[in-house]
Amino acid sequence: MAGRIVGMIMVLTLAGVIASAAVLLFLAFDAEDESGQRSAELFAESVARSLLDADIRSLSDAEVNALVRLNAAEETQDEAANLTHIWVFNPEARQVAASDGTPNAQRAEITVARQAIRDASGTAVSTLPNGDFAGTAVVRNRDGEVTGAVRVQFSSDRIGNHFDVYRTEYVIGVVAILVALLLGSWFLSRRLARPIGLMVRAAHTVEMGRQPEPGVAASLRNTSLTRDEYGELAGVFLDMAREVGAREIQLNALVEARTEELSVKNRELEDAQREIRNDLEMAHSVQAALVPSELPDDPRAGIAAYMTPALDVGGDFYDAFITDDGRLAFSIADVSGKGVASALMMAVGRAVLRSAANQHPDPSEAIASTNDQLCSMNPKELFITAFFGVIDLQLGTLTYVNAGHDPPYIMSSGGSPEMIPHTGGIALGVLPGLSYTETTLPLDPDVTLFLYTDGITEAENSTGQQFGRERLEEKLTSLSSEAPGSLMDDILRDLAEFRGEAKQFDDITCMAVQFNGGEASLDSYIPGQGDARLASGWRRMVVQPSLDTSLPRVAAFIERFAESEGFDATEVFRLNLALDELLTNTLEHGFPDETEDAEITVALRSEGEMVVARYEDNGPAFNPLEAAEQDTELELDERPIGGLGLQLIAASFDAVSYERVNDRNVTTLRQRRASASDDSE
Amino acid sequence: MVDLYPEYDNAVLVLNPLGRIDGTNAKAFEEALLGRIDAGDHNILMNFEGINYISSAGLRVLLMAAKRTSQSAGKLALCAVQDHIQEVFKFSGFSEIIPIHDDRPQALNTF
Repeated sequence: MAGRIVGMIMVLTLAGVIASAAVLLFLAFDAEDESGQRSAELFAESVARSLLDADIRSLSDAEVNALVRLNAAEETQDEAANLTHIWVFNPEARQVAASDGTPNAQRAEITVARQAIRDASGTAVSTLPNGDFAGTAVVRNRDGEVTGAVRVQFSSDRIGNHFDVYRTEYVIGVVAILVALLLGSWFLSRRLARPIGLMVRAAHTVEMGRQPEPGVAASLRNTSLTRDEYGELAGVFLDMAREVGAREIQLNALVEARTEELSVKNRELEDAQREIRNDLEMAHSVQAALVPSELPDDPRAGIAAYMTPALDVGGDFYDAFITDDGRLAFSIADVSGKGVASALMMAVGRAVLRSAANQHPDPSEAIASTNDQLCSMNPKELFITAFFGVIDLQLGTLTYVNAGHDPPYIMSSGGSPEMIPHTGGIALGVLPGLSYTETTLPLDPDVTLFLYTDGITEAENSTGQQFGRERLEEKLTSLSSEAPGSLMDDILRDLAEFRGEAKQFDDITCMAVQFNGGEASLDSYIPGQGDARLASGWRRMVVQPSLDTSLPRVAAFIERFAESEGFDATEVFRLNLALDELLTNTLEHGFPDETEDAEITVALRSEGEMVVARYEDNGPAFNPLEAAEQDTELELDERPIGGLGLQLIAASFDAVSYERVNDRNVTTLRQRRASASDDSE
Repeated sequence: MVDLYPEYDNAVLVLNPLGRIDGTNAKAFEEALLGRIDAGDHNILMNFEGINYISSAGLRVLLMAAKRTSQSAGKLALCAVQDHIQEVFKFSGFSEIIPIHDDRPQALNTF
């Protein structure tokens, strides 16, 4: 900056110096020109005067040369040497004579001579292009008549001897002035620029947040003592630097305080976040534990299920369990919305549905009851779409209710998936008091059911494309003969590949249930096997191996069945008595000590006018029909105690059969309905 | 504990059990009934008006009671037995061993 100012001043000075030198030289040359012309005039007039008495017309070159010498004698030696040419013209302006070495007059020279003769005027002078000077004067006789003209010419370098003589002094003078001026301007500009340079340096330091270096500050203080504008500026600058410094310190302190405040707030925020994080992680594990980690293990059905929430906690659930009466119940559901509220609803929904499934053998009643309970505890108007199905593993039937859920698929091994027809139910939690319709389908051995939530079909990839039903169906077709576990893994792997880097928006849940076929022992006693398997008339319950626990429950089971079938009190009593006796017998003889391994089931069904009861236990082989062959004719004293119950059964039912199948005792009782027997009697 | 709601009509002990007699309470029923016999009551009328269920376990207790009373020159009789219960006695042949009467006055007359 200061450098530039100094440079500019120096350049300006230099320009001024050069300009003044040029002017000086011009003046010098101009002076030379003027004096040359004056010499030419005087010289020409002098030569003209010397020809006052001469006869112009007969003048010879020799006489002209003499004239040159004559004139030279009058003038100084130096100047004579300057004369180069002399021409003499007659009154007609024709060249008469010329000095030695002079070329013949040219048109220009003749024209000037003719002009001078005609005008009879004074002397015409001119500076020639080569710098020489020329003068033309008329020649007169003593009478004053014009007798001709004379032209003299001499060279400038010889005339400019005045300059030649003082050339060195000129140059020295000019250079001296130049140097003096340059030095002067350098000192002056230095003096002007130095305080600015100092301030620039100090300003840089202040800009970086420091005070000016001590040397720079001292120089500026010195400058500030002077009384000119720079002094004032330096003073103001020093004050400003002090002020800036003070503010800097104040600001730094403020920033530090705020930073500390901010980091405290940050820590608090992080703590709060961590707490929420921990809570959610806890909720995640709790929820993960809510869906069954161990699915029912039954050789007649294979199950695999999977759930992963989009957030920490999700609103989907699945469930699968063996009901109290020995059927396989399973469900999949999707609570509207996501997050904690949905997760809570999910937990409630799963628990309510499971308990309802155990209370109500009919899926439609279980779902209706679940709906009523959910409606009564649903402040946020959440709803649950659900598919609930119960598979009778012995009969091979699926009874299900669909409450607004995506229809699951059913497919035979190697076949293509078909949607399980919707039962037209609306989602749970919407309106209390609704009744739901259930549908029963026969299940062929090796069919697979695939249940899912829309988190699968509506999963999007990075281009916004949905996984979709078509893709799912295609995949299911290719996997229809897989076991549930590998089928589900394959679909989830496919889904993950499809989704790529895209975010998971919804909970993803699915379940595959494969039915492997019912038990041979049961098939063998259902009349018209193929058709009978379509019927959903069987009611079945698993009986606990304890009389105290089971008798009331069996009684309630019979009561429910009887109610739906319209049985009278006698029929109920007979069923109760028969099953009571069989159970008592099993517990007394089959499992006298260890009852842990006991597997006892009771099944009931109406077949037209017949009531069929089937009792199974896995105790040692025992045929109640043989034991029942007791003589009822014996006198009181002779009557043995025991064996009586079996005898009662045999007497109460029209047909009692026994078989030993798969290490099980299977007793089947048939009785014509009382209403039917009334007609026949 | 089974409540038999005992009452005496002259020398006859009338018992009025309620509900069910099955495997779950047969033992208690047995203790209560045989306790009465051991205490000296050998003429017993079982009023079965309130009994709606009896299994072989119950029959067994009745059989034991019938044997004991008969050994002591007494007797055990039943009255007001509901139809389906009566069927059980019929099927089991007990109706041949234990007298069953339609109502209580008729039954008491036989003692």
